[in-house]
Amino acid sequence: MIVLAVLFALSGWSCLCFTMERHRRVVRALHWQRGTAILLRAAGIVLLVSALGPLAAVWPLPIAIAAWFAVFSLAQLLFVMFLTYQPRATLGLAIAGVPIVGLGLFLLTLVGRIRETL
Amino acid sequence: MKATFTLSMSWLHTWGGLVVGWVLFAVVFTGTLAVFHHEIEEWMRPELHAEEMSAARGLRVAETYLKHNAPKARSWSIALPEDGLVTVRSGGGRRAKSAVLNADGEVVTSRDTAGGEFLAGLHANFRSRGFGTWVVIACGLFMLGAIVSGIVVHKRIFRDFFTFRPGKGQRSWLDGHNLVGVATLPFQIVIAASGVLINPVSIMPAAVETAFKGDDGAYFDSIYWGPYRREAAHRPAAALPLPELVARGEALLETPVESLQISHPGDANSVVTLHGDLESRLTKMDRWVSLDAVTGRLLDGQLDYSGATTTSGVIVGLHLGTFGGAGVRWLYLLLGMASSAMVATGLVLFIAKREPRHAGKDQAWFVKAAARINVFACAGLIVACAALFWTNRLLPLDLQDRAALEGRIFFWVWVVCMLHAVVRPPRRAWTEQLAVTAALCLALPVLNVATTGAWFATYAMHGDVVRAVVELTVMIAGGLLGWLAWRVGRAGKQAPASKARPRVAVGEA
Repeated sequence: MIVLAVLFALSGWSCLCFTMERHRRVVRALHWQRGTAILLRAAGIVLLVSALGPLAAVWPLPIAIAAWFAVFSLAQLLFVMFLTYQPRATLGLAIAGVPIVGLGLFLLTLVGRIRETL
Repeated sequence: MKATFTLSMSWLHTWGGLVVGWVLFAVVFTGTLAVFHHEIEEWMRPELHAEEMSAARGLRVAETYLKHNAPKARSWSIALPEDGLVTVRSGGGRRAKSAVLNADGEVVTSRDTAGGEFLAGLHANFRSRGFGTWVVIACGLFMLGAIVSGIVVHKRIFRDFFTFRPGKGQRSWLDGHNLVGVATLPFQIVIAASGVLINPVSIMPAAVETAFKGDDGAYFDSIYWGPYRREAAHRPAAALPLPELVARGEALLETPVESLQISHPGDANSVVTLHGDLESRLTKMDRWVSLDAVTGRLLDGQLDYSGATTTSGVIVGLHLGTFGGAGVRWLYLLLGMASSAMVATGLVLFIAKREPRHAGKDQAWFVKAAARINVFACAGLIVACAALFWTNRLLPLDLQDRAALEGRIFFWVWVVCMLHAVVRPPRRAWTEQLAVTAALCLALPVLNVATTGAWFATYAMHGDVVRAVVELTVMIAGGLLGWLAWRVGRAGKQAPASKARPRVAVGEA
């Protein structure tokens, strides 16, 4: 679940990163409309907030929040390494955000079912 | 006083960071390793290996042992099985005797080693209570000051949020320092603040002085009054089976029992005090219940604390990072490493900025001295930590005061690194000390096979995950340090070409 939370946060950071002109240039992405940037910013925030979900599934909320901050930091460091050494991959991370949310919801449901069964 | 607030903060960040940074690196790095001090301890005691043991069996084994070996002791303590071993203790004070038992009830002995506790002690107070504690508290306060001044000085936090430009000399060091500083900011604030507040009575004695007339004992008794005590009846009585008492305790505590104490065992007034498992809780405040060992009646207990005490317990929990199992501790380890990197890059940046500026000037001696101190304060400490693993395996097992000797060798290795940093050019010294650490880490499995006949692959095959992961992590760290040594060495060869690069404005650092 920590890995899933890190993926959420990675995806969130990448969305937020590409709202900044200087980083869009790094991956030679197209010039986005203002609306796209707003959408990306919203998606980034949603993904970062969503990173709390997988953590809250395994821990009580106070512990999950403490771990959430740690996941943010770790994901940011990982993301910047990607952006520096594999910039193209970061674009993939931003696009992968939606499937990651889907996978996360699926796993959360699965964990919930398993808990109910046990 | 500087002309502007930003310049004053820059001065504080630079000089405060440099002077405290040398000690702070040791505090942060050893603290990072201490996150897994139990696991390191386990690797350092290869003799303590046992099959899985249930709590019920552990209780049976412990009770049988204590009844045979300490029937007249005033008290017994049992720590429920961990990694297949149960720890028992009889009596109190200096006369206390403890033993580690396996599932067959046999006493398991292990080598006398400094172990992971050594690193934890080094982090907490440099293994010198009193003065050492104050040094660490001062480091924590300076770290908080450096964090605040760093935020003020680093004007473009959001603009440079994802910026790292490698291969650009001083600019890269600044980027690296800013990046790890900003990314780990919440972690660092929590760790520095909780590290300072973990000793509230030491740093804020006024409340105890006023309310308890300076009596620390009375203060602690007011917040924690366990366990329940009563005199022996001097009348024998059969106690309830321990598993039944533990089950009652768990129902009351609403958590698994971690350990229990039995006072006046076999007496009609015997009391069993059960302590709840704190691993899964953010608040590190002991939750306990005392039961009458004969009837099972609840005598006393402490399940909740006042708001202030709970807050204090949360601060301790946040600092230790033991609240979320291995997952959270791995996060702490990685972020602790990033924080160590932040301190180290800050120290290197100080030199990178001043070396070209002060070359041939009066202040050049200070920059040269600081560059050498940087080497042994950072790389030297890492060499000493790697050497600790080696001394654990190399020292003869029957040596008197073996654990203390391991600690002394740790400091001697650090002193040797200091001498090495003095006689060698700083960049060479960095490369060589990092290379030595890498070699020590990568060769650790070879040493382990040679001395104990086991290494991470055999640990993994026998399901000994903890030891396997410890050794594998040390090897991965060795690989990374080897890569770092290679990069530093290569950068040293290219250094003359990079002299023409532009400098960074003071306000940006």
